[in-house]
Amino acid sequence: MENKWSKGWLTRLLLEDRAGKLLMSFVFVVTTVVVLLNTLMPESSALHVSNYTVTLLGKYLCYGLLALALDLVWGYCGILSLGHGAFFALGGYAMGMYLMRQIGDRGVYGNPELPDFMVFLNWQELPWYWQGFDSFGFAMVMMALVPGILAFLFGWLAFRSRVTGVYLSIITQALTYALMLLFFQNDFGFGGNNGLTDFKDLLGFSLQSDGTRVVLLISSALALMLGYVLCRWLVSSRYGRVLVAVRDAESRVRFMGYRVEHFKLVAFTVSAMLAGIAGALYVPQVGIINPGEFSPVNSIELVVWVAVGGRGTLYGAVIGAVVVNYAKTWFTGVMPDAWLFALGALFVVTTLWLPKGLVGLYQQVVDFIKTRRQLMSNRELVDHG
Amino acid sequence: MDKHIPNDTLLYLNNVTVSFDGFRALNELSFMVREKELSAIIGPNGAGKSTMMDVVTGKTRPDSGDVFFRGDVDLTRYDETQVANMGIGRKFQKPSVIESLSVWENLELALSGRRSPFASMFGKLSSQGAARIDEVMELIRLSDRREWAGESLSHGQKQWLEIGMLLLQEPELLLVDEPAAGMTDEETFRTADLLKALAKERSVVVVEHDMAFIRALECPVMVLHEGSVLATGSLDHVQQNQKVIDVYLGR
Repeated sequence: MENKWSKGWLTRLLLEDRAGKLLMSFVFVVTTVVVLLNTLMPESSALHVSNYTVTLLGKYLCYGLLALALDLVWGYCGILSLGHGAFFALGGYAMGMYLMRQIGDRGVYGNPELPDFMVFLNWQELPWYWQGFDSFGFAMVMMALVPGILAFLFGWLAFRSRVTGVYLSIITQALTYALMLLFFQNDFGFGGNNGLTDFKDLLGFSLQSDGTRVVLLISSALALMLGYVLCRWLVSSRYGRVLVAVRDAESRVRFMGYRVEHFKLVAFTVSAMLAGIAGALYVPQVGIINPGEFSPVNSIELVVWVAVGGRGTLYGAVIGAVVVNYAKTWFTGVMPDAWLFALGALFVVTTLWLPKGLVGLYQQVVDFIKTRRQLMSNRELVDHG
Repeated sequence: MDKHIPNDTLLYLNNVTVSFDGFRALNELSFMVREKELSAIIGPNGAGKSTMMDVVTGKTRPDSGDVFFRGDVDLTRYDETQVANMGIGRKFQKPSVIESLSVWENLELALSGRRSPFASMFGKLSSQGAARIDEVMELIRLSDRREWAGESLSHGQKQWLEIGMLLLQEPELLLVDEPAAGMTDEETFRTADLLKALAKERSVVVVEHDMAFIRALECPVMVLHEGSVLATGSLDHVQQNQKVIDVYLGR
């Protein structure tokens, strides 16, 4: 018998993931429109989109990719990581190190060999772990590899010992907290609490130039779309169904002969690498990376984005990231003190009334209207009978 | 191993003891299961039935004693995943199908084959595999429910789906924990027929409370009490055993 799974994954992707296709088309269109209006319209025109908006959108798309990464492990595999911000930050630091090396002798101290903070600390030579970051190719590999290796080691230990549920959440939180403390140390060699900043250019192009901002936005959009296709491909394969099975009934999957820890490890590592790429794209757009990015609060906020958007859907996570961050931008402009309360309220509302997030709201409304109609017609029947 | 073990022994437990905080869940339990044999295990709550299954399937390590599969495979040295891949399937008391996956997806997940993450990403379902799934779906009478989510099935259907999943794992030994719990009379008898049919090609061990169901299985029965075997024989035989009546049936 013909079956939907007998088709190739690409066909399945195009046929079935309607919401995802819509969202990716939307990202494509919005990015294109913003880029065109920014570059082609004169600044005096009402249709001109400011550089600020270009960078803001680029930031949102990086958050979208980060949320996507979390949804892969949380939504599909049930691993509630409260430390995913760490992988994002590590990717960001890898990019930051490259950007620091690009400064060359244009720093405050004018030292061609060492970044300013090392000169300030009286360091005589570049530490071994900074070697190679002059090369963009090397740095690019590190942006994904460093978070990937950390996730692999951490996951290997945690999943092999069958640490699950709230215990796993707590140790992921501890992981990002420990890294934050470590990166705060001046001696650790990553600029201490100031982090890495004062970047000049990327691949020789000034970070302040309009063209570079546009290219960074386009890169973020591309990364999000590719990341989406990768995650969709993973979850629509048999591998993805094993992940869902692990989420729903972990021990059952073991008795089926699947090595659960290997499945979790692959998902966790891929997710960490995507988070690292998101961080790497984020840093040149905001112009700074500091240990604050490792703060546990960031990771918790990330969980809220995914929950608000709707976990276990991939597209919901992206929508959640953009919506919550747009709200954050708006709040910090209008009433900055109220933001954390609003965020908390949002989480409570989602938990109580929107178990499937914003993307589940549509179905909820449809169901509600249906039951209402049913009820009304029943009442009419009673009245007439 | 001892010389008096018959050649067609598939599973062999010898003096297996398991204690939890001083409580002996299994107390020098010994028994064997032959190839292509259907047998039933009954006993009061806390008799050690589930612990016995945990030991065989690699979930619990015994404090002492031997557990051998296919003659010389020492099961105490392997974990759940490895034991499952050796050909021992386990059906849980509570039906545990994957609720958010469809009937077809549940079955495909269980279908025997390579189990690594990468094989499951790139591997394709063979036409034989698809045919086998259809065949089993027919057998468990869920063909018209193939796209239904696990959670939307009735209790009895879930039990059947789980049995179907176990079949697709192609086990040599099937351990079935209370398959008739919560089933209607008609479903109970259909399940008994199904298990009898399955035992023609593999060994099946059924743990059950429902006497009508055990009677319908028409197979040798072992009564477990306080972690060891109290009596064995046909159902009629053990039902007349005074010890069995005292500890279990009489209550």
